[in-house]
Amino acid sequence: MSVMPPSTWLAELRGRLRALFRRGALERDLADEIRLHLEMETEANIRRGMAPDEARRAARIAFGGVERVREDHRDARGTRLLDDALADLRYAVRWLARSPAFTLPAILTLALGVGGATAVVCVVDGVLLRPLPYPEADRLAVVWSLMREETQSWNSSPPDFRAFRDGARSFEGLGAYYDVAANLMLAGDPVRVSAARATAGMFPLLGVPPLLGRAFRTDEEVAGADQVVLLSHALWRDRFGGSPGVVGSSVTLDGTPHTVVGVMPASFRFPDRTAELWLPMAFAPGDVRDTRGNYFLNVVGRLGPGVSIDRARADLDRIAARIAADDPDASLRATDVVPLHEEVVGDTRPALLLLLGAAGLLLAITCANVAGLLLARAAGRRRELAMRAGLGATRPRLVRQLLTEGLLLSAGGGAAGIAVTWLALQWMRTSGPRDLPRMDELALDGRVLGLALAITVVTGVAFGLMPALRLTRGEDLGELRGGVRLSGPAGHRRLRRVLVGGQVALALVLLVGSGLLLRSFVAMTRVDPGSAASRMSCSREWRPSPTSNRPRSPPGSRSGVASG
Amino acid sequence: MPRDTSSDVLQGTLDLLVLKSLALGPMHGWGIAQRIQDLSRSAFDVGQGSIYPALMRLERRGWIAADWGTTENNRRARYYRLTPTGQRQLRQETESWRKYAHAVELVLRAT
Repeated sequence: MSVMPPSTWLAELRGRLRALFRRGALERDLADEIRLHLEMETEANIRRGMAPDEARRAARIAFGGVERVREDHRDARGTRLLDDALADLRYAVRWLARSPAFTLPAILTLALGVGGATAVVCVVDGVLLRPLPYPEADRLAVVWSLMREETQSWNSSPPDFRAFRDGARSFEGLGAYYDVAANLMLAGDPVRVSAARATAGMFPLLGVPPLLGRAFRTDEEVAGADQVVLLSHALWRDRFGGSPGVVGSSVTLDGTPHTVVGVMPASFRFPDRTAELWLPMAFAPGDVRDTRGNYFLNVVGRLGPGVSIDRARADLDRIAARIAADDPDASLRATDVVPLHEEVVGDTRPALLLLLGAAGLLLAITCANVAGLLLARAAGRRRELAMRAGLGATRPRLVRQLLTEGLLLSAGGGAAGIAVTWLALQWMRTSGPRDLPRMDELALDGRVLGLALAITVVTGVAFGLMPALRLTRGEDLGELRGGVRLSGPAGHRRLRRVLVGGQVALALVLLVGSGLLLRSFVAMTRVDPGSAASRMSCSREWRPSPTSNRPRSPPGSRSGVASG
Repeated sequence: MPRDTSSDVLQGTLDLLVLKSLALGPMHGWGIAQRIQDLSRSAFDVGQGSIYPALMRLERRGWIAADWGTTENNRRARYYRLTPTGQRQLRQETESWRKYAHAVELVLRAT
């Protein structure tokens, strides 16, 4: 046959598709045509002088085998493979539905395996691999101060930060912030909010523009001009009804009116997701905090294009050395520049990678277990398979059928697994480990679904193929024609038990592993406050309004610490 | 059922014969079988039934099309006809068949 041009190829595809969807009609048409053909041939034979019976017989002989023609006709439609696949699928559905006592545990096992593995991969991906939600986040770095006679890294003091900001050449920008809490007065009710005071340069440096309004100006970094506020998306939505008119309005913060200058987008969670509003960083002249010895500023910088961490560190070290030379009392000795991603992710990398390995192992054992279940069940089907082989089913055909059953099973398990993943992520996002960074960014997106799908298909093929190949081995099929064994040899049963035990053990290890991981995070974040915090209690009280007719006291909050 | 792999050449030939017989005008299956038998003076001993898979194959490729019609005896029958693509295909196949037959002839004539 000659090579087909594209138009012919398209017609061919159309023809095949039509044949696939009109299977019943095609069969009926063919039956009609065959009947008509035989009738016409019989009549022609009678016209040639044959007796009716003889004519009918001759017509049948001339036509050839009707069944053979039907088979060839089916082949000619070009949908054989798909027809077989559909038949396999129907058969597999019936077979699985008939035995829920096998199907349900298998699907449950798969759901846990696929769901668990996907969730772990999702966390690892979300925490370790996905870039931070800032443009060109790989150029963002955190600056730490190293002190004389100290091994720990420290924050910066305001004068040091200004020296860095004004003297550094390897940074596109340097910004500083510190966490504060503020009383926001809303309709006469005070609300305690977490906030950060940040330099005006912080926002352009991170590269996230406000959703509404503007970020801070440098002239607002001056005490007295700093009564402006940027709202987080959540605060704006929950407390201000998401109204765009909020920009320019006045809100009362710690008893002082502040002008709302902007709203940040929902994706902006800086320094972390708890921040609800931002205020400019400003110190009045003579403010005690604005002295060289007050190391409380977090410093973040954006490296210039192509600048390495080492060069940035050398650059800042030069400034640190000058500060030390100018001021013999300064304890600043050198600096440490750490990529922001590394800073955020911290020490979680090896632990998370370990979890990832465990998830892979869990998946492998899940496959082995379901394969074991299939194998145990398939042992009971030996007679059926032998009969089909005896009727002429080829080995590839039998393997394909068993594979279809495996894939169908894994599809069910995969669907349930996605539900498990969703639940797991939901749990981790809300009530999960608050100490694990970037948890709030986790989401069940297309990539995760794709991953679950891939895992599902791979497991389906893996555990479908194993029994398929084992059961349809030549000598087995031969032996099958004889007797029936209801279960595999004792060795197989032992292997199955080991595998089931393994899955339970590994699931436990994963669970305990995550638990230990969380504990170490809690331990890491628990910084020694420098005083014995046990048997101390802390109380805070907030007054509704400075203008209420309560006894006089300065507006704002009062804190007390009692030792007991 | 074992597949007859040696029938590829025969299949191609049958397809060509069916196309050729339809070039004479639209016809139903039995009529096509008759035409082939008449034209070849019954030289081809293939079961008449085998034209139906051939018709399916050709229809799938878009070389022929089919419609239900009625015979002279008022019977419902499926009438097949050549499509423009089928006509083109028939010309091509005829030509390549001739080349092939000619080549075989040349070889056989050599002594």
